[in-house]
Amino acid sequence: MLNPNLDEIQLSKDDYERYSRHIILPQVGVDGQKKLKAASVLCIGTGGLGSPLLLYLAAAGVGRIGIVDFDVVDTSNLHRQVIHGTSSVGKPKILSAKERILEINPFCQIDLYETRISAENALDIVRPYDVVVDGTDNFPTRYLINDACVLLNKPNVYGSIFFFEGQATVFNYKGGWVRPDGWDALTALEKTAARKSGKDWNYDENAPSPNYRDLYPEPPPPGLVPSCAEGGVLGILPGVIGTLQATETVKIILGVGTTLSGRLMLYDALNMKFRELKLNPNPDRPVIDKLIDYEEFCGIPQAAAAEAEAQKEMTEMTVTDLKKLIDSGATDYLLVDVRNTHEFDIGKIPGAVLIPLPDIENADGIDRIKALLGDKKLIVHCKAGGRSAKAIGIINEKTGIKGTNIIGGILAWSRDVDPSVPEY
Amino acid sequence: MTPHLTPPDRMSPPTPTITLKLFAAYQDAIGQAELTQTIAPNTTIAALLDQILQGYPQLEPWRHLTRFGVNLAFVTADTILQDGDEVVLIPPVSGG
Repeated sequence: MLNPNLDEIQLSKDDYERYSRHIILPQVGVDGQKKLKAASVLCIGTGGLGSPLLLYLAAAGVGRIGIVDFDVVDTSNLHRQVIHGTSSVGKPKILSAKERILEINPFCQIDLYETRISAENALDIVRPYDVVVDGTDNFPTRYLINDACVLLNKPNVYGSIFFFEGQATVFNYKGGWVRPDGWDALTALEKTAARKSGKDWNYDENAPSPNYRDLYPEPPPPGLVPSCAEGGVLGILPGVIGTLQATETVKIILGVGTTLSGRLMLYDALNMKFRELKLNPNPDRPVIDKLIDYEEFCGIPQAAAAEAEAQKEMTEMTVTDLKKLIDSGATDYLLVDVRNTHEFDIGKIPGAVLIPLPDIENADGIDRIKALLGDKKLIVHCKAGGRSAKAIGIINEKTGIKGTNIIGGILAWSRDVDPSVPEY
Repeated sequence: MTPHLTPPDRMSPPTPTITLKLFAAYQDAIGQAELTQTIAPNTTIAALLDQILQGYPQLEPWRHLTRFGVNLAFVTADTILQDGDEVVLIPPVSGG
C-alpha cells in the first residue's frame, strides 16, 4: 500500500545490507525503504519497456510486483527486452521475467498473470496494486489500462516508444498546471507576453492530473502507426523510457520529488534531446464510468471486416506457386516488393522490383508501377502479406489495376522455398 | 533611378518565423527533425498544418490525430502563432 503504517513494517538484517545505498539517502531512509517494501506495482507487458523497469523495481526493493503478459520470448525480442535471455527463447515471458527477478532479488513477491488483459479481467487484475506501469505495445490496451486506473483511482505510469523516440508521463495521480493569480484580468496582449516568457502556467503539486485520453482523445485507425515489429526500434530506447517509468514509480511510492504528472517527456535519441510539454486535463473529456470494448473503440473489428471484404476482391498466390512461375521463365508478370529499402537489403525474391509502400501511398510509386507494368500482370509481396494487400488496394483504387497478393510474404518464401533468405 | 512606389521593406513588420519540431510520422515523411519556417501574420496552427499536408499528402491520415505544442505547452489548433514560437507536432505512438 502507499503511505503504510511504518511501525508495522520491519526491515530485516538482509534488507539493511541490500538496500544500504538507498537507506543512507536522506530522500529514502529507513522509512522510504519500508514504503518500498510495503508497496505493490502492476507491470503490464514484459517487452522493451517492461524489461528494464521490472529489473529496477525488483532491485529497488518493491515488495510485490504483478506481471501481465501472454507472449513467449522470441529471438527478435532479445535486442531490447533485456530481462529475457537466449536460453529463455520459446518460454512464456512472465516465467522468464520471474526467474531473472528472483535472481536479482529473492525477497520480492511476484504475482503472474499469463493472460491478455481485457475489459472482462482488467479491474480484478489492477485492483490489488498501488501503482500501474503501462509497458504495452498497442492502443486498445493503453486505453483499457487508462480507464481501469481512472475507475480504480490508481496512478498510471506511462511510456511509449517509436523508432528513435520515446514518451513518458504519469497519468491519474496528482500534479498539474494552474493559471497564475490575476490571469483573467490580463489583456490578450499581456497573456501573449506571459506565454512567451513562460509565465502563463504555474505547477501545482495537488492540481488534477491528466490521463491518457487528455493526451490522445481519439485512437488512430488500425495499421496507421507501425509496431516495433513492422517499423523497427532502437534496442536501447525502451531502456531509457522504461527506467524513466521505474524512477517515477519509485518516486510515487516514496512520495518524494516532482513527478511527470502534467508533463509529457519527449525523448529523441537520434539527436539526444529531452523536451517536456505541459499537459492539462481536457475540460471536454468524456466521463469514464465503465470499461468498454476497446478493440471496437480502436476500430479493429471494423478494419478486419473491411480487410476481409477487400480480400474477397483480391487474388492471392502461394510462395510455391510463385516459385513455379519464376522457374517457368515466364515474362508476363511484374513482381513488386513494397517493403522498405533496409528490409530489401536483408533478402529478396528473385526478380522483385522494390517500390516501398510509402511511395505508393505518395502516388510516385504508382507512376513507376504503371511504367513498368505495360500489359503484364501485377504480383505484390511484402514481409508477411499485410502491406502488400494495402498496396494492392491503393493501386486498384487509383488506377483500376488488379494485383495478386503473395500469401505470407517473404517470410513464407523463406520458410517454404528458400531458407537461405533470413527471417527477421 | 526608379522612384519607390511602395514603402521600403524595412518599414513593414518583420515576417513571423517559427521553428517546427517534428516527431514520428512527421519526421519520417519530411526527413528532418526540425524546420524553420516563415508564416503569414495571424497564421493558426491548423493553417500551418494545412500547408504541411499539401506538401506531404501521405500525412493526411494524421490530421485529426496530431497534438500540437507551442513553446512547450499543449495548445488547441486555433492558436495563433507568434514570431519566434516553437511548434511541436506530436502524432500518437504506442510501441513498447
